[in-house]
Amino acid sequence: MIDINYYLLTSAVLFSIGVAGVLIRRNAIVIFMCIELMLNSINLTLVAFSAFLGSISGQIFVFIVMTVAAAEAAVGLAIVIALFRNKESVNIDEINILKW
Amino acid sequence: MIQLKELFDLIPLLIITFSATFILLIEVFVKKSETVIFGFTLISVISAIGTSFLYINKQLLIFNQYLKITNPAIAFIVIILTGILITVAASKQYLEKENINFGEYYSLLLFAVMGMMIMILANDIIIIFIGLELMSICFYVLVGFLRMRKKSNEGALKYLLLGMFMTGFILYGMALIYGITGSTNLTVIYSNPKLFTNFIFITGVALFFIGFLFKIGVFPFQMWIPDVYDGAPTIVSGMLSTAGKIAAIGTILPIILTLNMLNFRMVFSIAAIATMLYGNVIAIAQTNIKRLLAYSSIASAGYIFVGVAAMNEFAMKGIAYYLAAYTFMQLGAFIIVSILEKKDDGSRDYKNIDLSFYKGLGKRNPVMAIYMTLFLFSLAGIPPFAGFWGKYYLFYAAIQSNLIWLSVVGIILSLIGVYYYLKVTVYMWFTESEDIAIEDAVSVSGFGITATSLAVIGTIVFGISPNLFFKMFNFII
Repeated sequence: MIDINYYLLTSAVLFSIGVAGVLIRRNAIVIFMCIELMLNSINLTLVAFSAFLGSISGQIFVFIVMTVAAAEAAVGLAIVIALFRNKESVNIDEINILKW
Repeated sequence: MIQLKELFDLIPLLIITFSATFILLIEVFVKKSETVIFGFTLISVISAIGTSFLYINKQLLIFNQYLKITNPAIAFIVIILTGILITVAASKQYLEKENINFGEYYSLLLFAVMGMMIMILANDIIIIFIGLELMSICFYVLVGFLRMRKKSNEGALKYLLLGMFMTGFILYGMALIYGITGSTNLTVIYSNPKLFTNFIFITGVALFFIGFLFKIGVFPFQMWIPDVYDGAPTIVSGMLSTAGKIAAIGTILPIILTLNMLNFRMVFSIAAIATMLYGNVIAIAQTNIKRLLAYSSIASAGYIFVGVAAMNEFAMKGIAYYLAAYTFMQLGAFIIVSILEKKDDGSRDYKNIDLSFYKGLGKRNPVMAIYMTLFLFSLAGIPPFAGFWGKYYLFYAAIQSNLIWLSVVGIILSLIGVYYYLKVTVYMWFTESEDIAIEDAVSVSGFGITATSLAVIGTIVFGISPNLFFKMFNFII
């Protein structure tokens, strides 16, 4: 059996890649995908802990996270489309009316 | 074991859930449904408030220990529902003015409330997560509800991206907490004795709190607040700044108090000072009333964190009282802004939200000016309004925990805040309007004025007899 630390390390690395992507990328849709990557790395953590501890609630949690991620993606893409209709851009550097 | 009779322990939640779903059906099956939906929403919120009082002094642990009903939780829920009642009453006029009078608005509002109630009652981190996301997703939609306006779109996108990013942190924290304690149940997590010696657990708790501090808008995580409140429909900004914050505070406060995080008191104190400083100082430079109120809500989060840093039995009382007062005054101020706001035909932007519009308001519209003055005085903490007693209890709690330096700094910073509240008041009463083009007549329908009057009554009654609040929810004084 593979040691749990490898799973945790992998998911921590994936999470960091997601965070870095959110901070670096400029396209709203790509930022979205990076956030999905973060959520999925968390799912990996939860499943690893669940298998390690022999407790089922971690796996239940994963299903709930996936549902919520889907709902957020639906709302998020709708907001991006509404913004694109008004501004014809999804580059977050150009979304700058609100400041101060 | 879950039993059917446990449903009767949750009547307020069931009422809100049922009406949130039912409104969508009314929208489909009834013609000219706007008025019906408005009345239905009002009635269901009022009945939810009424039934909430049945659960005072009942300590219940229901649904397989997933939900926990306590007196402070009921107090937070009643405060939130009162805020929502005022919001709903003032909504109709605003939605008609902006041509967005759809049934979904009320449904989303009630689903958000449902999420807040679930979150506050939760005794399990999975349930906290579900409630938080239900609330947040509804808020993302509500912020972008004026979908023809660039500002509203932009606010919604900023809120959505940052909110989802922070959700990731909360979840990672929850996963680590689950991994160390082996359970998602908060009672089991609390009972684990050697928690704060474990580095991974501390990391998990820190990530969890970072997410919630973002929702409350405490210092390093406050940048989204002015943008989102400025972009959102004014009535939604009012609700975001009151109900949304109260739900987040009502969730983490019992956790902080039960985990007894005295080692982290310094962190909370510094966060409180930085938040108060940032909110109060930047607000001075604002020329837009919505942004000014947004910065004032950041400052209020700072005062609340003075109470959180105190971490004693007075803190819970003080914070609950401050939040009740804050709901009335902050929401009232936002509603007045929403009533005075005009729809701009051409430029698709909010109009009449500049501070210069408030010059000479006392002559043009004395009733609105008087109400606004009351709310601003209460926010500034001038007795005998409720805001004064709120700050008094928070600083008192800090002094009880020997944090005298913190309360001194807090009082000095709240004095800076008086400047910009009084600046608006002086604009309203002691200056003349330079712009002749401002039309003086603002039509004030019955419901808008009723909602603000409710907020005024709350501000004054709780200000004159602060003990009323504690008696209502049976806090031991």
